[in-house]
Amino acid sequence: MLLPVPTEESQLTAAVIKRCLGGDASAWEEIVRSHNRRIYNICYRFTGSQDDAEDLTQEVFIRIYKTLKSYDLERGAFTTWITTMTRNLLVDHFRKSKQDRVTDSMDAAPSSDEDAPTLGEHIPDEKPTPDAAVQTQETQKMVQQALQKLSPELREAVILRDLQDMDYREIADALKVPEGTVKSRINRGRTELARLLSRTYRQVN
Amino acid sequence: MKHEGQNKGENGIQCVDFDARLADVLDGTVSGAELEAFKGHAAACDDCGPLFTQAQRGMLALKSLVEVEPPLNLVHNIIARTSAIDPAMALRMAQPKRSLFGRVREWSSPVLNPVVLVISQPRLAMTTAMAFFSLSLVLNLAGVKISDLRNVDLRPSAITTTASMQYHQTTAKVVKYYENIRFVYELESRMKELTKDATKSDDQNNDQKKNDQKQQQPDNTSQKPGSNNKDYSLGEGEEILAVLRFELPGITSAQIQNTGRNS
Ligand SMILES: [Zn+2]
Repeated sequence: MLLPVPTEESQLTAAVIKRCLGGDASAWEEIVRSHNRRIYNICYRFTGSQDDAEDLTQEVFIRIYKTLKSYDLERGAFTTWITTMTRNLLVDHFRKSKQDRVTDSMDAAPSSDEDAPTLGEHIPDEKPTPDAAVQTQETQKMVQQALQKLSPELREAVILRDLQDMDYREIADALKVPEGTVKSRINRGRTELARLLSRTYRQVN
Repeated sequence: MKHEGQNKGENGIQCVDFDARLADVLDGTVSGAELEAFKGHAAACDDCGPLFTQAQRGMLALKSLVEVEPPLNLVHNIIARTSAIDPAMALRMAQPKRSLFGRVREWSSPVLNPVVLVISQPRLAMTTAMAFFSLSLVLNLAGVKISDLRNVDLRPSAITTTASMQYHQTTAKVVKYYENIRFVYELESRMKELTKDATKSDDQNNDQKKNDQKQQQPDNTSQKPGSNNKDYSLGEGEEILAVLRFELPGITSAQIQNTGRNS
């Protein structure tokens, strides 16, 4: 089950990569088109910033473009390879932004996140009956803000698992940690997030 | 975590086993007696019980997050930037097939005339811009920087005399782009790169200073016990390379775990 079975999808990917390396510009565009959404989403959920996500996605593709030759078609999923690259750039980005900020928002303390608007700012005092769409939007913001407060290791693990539906083996490959560590981080990421959310919920109500 | 060190052995499983199986249980891949033992432990253990509920809530909250729409111009911008990295590769990618040579000849002759004439042809309305960018491309490939370009006469008439041969060659190579939106990416990317070149040295100096200042600041970041921040707290100079772990038949997960343990 865990062995790489050459799926139809992976064969198609292999064909596109070969075309790209053979000098077919449309193949490169195909690669960009089929993966940009996923990478953008990972970056957005990790950073919580659309601008950062856009910059980082571009950086990821530049790196892919430069190193595509080194990708071995026989040796594993292209998506995992791209995820590793995305993740490595997120590590770099995290370290840089950590240096840029005196307060580290990765710490779980809710008051430490000075950039993000607090939940109180989103919810009007008079509390009009919010329609379903507004409520959904608020929930999305709340969860994203809580996600932002997870340590980066826990954050990336739950993003890859719960948002990108990667299996443990793929995540372990992408993060280069054992599967047991992946599961443990996912557990902690989820429980931590639930605690942060209930804390936020108590603050609001 | 607090419960990891304990060995309660409630309902046949221990807290560490509970942690190890928690993700699988939430995935729905655990069943039968094993699931019963797990549930029994959750009900009996004060540490693990809440963990199960919280992990489930956290998972549901995460899964409620919808996929976000990337900016509309993202693909465009990516291709513009990747075209700028390796002009040689961009040209190689743009190289026309032999069947296109006839077409190259068909409309390359006006290119050799003064650019003004070329502009008068509606089909080649973009050509002034193309002439500039293609020249930039050629110069850039030859190692000429935009700062050097400042001293060069960039009027179309001047360009035509000195660069028409190079321009013609470049045109032949990128002819496919001219009829394709991809050429626009190319133009933009060359522009960006040339602009970047001009400011790069300044930026690098500034970045260096900035980094030096930052390095001197003490890092008061508190780390949660048990959370592995290793990768995220590496020194600036250390590069993490994208390395694929190979999945080969015959390698057990234990072996794989051992190889990963050093990280
Ligand atoms: Zn327990």
